[in-house]
Amino acid sequence: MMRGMSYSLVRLRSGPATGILRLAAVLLLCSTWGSPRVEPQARPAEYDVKAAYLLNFGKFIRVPANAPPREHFDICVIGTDPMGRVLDSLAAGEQVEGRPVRIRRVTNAADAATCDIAYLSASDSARIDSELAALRSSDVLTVSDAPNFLEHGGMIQFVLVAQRVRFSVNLNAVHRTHLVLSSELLRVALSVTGNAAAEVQR
Amino acid sequence: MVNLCVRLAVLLVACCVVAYSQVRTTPQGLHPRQLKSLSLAELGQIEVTTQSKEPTEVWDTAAPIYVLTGEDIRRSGVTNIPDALRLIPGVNVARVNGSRNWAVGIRGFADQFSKYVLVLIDGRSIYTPLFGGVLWTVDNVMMEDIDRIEVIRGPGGSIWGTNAVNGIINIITKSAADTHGTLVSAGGGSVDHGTGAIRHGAHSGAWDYRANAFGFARGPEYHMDNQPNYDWSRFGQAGFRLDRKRGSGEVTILGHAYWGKFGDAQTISTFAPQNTFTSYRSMNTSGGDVLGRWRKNLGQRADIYLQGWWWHEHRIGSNFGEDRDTFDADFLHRFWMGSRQQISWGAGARLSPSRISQTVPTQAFVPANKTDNILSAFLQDEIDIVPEKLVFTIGSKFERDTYTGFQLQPSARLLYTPTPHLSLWGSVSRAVRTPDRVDEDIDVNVFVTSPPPLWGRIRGNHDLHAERLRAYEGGGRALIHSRLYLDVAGFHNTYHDLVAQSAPSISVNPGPPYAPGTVLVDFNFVNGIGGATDGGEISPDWQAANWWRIRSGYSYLHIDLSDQRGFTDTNTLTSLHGSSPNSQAFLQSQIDISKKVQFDQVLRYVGALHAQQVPAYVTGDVRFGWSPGPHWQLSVAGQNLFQPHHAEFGINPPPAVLIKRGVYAKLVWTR
Repeated sequence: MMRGMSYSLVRLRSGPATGILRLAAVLLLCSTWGSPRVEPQARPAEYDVKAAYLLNFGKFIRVPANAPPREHFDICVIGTDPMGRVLDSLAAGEQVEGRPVRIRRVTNAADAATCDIAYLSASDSARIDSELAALRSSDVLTVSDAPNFLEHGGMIQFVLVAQRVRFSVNLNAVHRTHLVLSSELLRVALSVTGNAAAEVQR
Repeated sequence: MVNLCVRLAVLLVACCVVAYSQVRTTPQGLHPRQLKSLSLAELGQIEVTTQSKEPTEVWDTAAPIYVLTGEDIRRSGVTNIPDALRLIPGVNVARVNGSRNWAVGIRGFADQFSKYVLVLIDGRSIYTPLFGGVLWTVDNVMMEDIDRIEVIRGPGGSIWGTNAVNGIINIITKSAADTHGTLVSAGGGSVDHGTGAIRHGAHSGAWDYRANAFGFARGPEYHMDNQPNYDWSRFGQAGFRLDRKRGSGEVTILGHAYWGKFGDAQTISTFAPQNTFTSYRSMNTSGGDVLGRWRKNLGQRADIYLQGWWWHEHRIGSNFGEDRDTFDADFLHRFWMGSRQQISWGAGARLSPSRISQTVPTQAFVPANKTDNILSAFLQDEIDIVPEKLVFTIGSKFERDTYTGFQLQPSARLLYTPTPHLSLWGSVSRAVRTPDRVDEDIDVNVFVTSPPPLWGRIRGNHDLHAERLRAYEGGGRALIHSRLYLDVAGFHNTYHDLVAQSAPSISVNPGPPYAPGTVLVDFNFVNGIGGATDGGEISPDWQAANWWRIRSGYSYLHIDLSDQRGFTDTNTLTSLHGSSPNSQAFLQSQIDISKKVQFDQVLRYVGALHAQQVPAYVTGDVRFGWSPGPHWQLSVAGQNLFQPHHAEFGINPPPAVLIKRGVYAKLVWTR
């Protein structure tokens, strides 16, 4: 992943063979300042990628035509927010179907009934049943990384596979609402369960 | 001159621009904002670093569980598991010397043969029925493989079984899916003379696998004048792990083979005229294990779990040798009955044949060959009295073992979660420790002095009862602020029938093999001590800033044990009272100076151990970590920095070996 970055630095170092100490120092400084925010393993954080997924899902949800028009595309975080400022910075200036994206943080599911996407953190897994029950009659895409989220009736569950963030979809839960998920999203999912499709493993 | 400066400035700007642009065009965009432009498919291809497991699972446990993550361990700079355990509240750790066992206990009773803590590595118990404890020097895990160490203070009798009296330490390694790629690490220093590790993992079809090998050479600690430096260690281990996750089932297979040599000094008594001498014969060990585990999700929130393992140990030293095989099979089934009750039940069997090799006539086990077996079953019901707010768990383990027959270990726990940020719990449990081979079968003669010849003899007792504990515990966890997490626990443990040395019976001229005129003082083990211990632990975990995290803990322990009615003169009492500190504390601070540089510090305080003649001490460790490049990590750590050396535990033969200040450097390459 960082291969591109390190190769460019190697080229710079061996390039102009002028070998002035100051030049070498400059390059060294550059490699420290010029590199972006990175952990020792040079990988993005799990929750930054999940935040990006939430933004992305918006492009693949089809809201029913007779739905009341809303001014914003709301992505709501119910309870604990493990993503923080990254979610806000990713959402800044974004639009879904002409509606500007807005991040709302709410304390319980009842307040999320008017959202487009609702995210529940894994650390709140004790509340899943009550939160999902509150959202049952709303057209909200429910997403979580709580274990067994799909079995509780959630729609999209984040799964970590080989250090990569993937997601699984429960179509039964989606079909209970008026939401329709694009087949492009289903194609990329790790697994799709529900009586509309046999259990599929990717 | 100006020309040069201008050129340098332009170059500086230019290469920084190149660096940034390089990032933008890399599909694996590292900056969070770069993630915005990726498609769903691309997002699923990026390797991520995962957050620690903290409050999630810990929150819902009605027991004082503490999770030390692999990252906390890495940043503390420790090179072995017992040193990592110092960073867990309620765990007492003392290093004896460079090659002998550590004294590890939970809520007291720390000893080289500390018998009250059950230790598991990936579900395999490494508690040995030989002396009822763990040989930490031999049971090593590659530090880079550790995902987390979970410690439950207090009896976990209900699920985990016999001998988990004061607590359980569960060392969990990363799944093979989390260790893809290659890792090579090498280091060396003043105490840890050399360490090396290599690991490679990948996936093939539905299987993830890894193979690794690691080894270390440790040097002696600080000895007083004229004492030979006998406590060195050499160790090597190779292992593998396979994981497969398909549909609702998971299979894990892992195995290791190890070899070790540990320098030692033992006072050996002989019946022949010299009577006593110090042997510097090293302890040689080798062995291995294989474990297989299958878990299947049955749907309806039920699952089933089947595990089997085999562990072989071979050990020979100056005073005795042991060969032991342990075969274990366990089964667990969890399901929901109605919408409010989760039932767990299971059964297990363990068979452990062993053979003692006698190396000196004065130390024997009678009988030399013995097979320990344990049959167990457990049942637990977790009831949601008020869903998500009040949960009551009741259960028990039923065991039948070689020594003490049938044992019942019930426990009842209540967990109350009034708000999403606060949970309170309380429990009452009974736990039992069955006697080990030393308690039952040992026969040791120790020469004391001459003339006239005075000998001591310690013999096991085949009629021992199990030791019993009743524990009353309570505590709470609170997320006081999004950045401050607090865990508090308190306990009152009452003990009965703890194994102790009996009053001596003295005989004169007992006959051969003793020399004529010998005075023999004979002890055996009896169930002679009872009483209580009280105490508590408080551990705040504070994210002071985005780049600064502080973990800390304070533990308090009060021991009040006494001879039970009908028994007197048990020397064990003084040792029990004075071998665990009244209080101890630690503070671990992790600072991310920049994205590539880490500065970590640990401060540790341990109270005095009167019976071991060890005064209280405060010391600290420091670690600098630097990533010169994406695949490299360099760390330099200093340990036990406050004094050139300090005592932590007594030893036989005295005087105590002191633990010295040390420094080491380590380089890790990953791809």
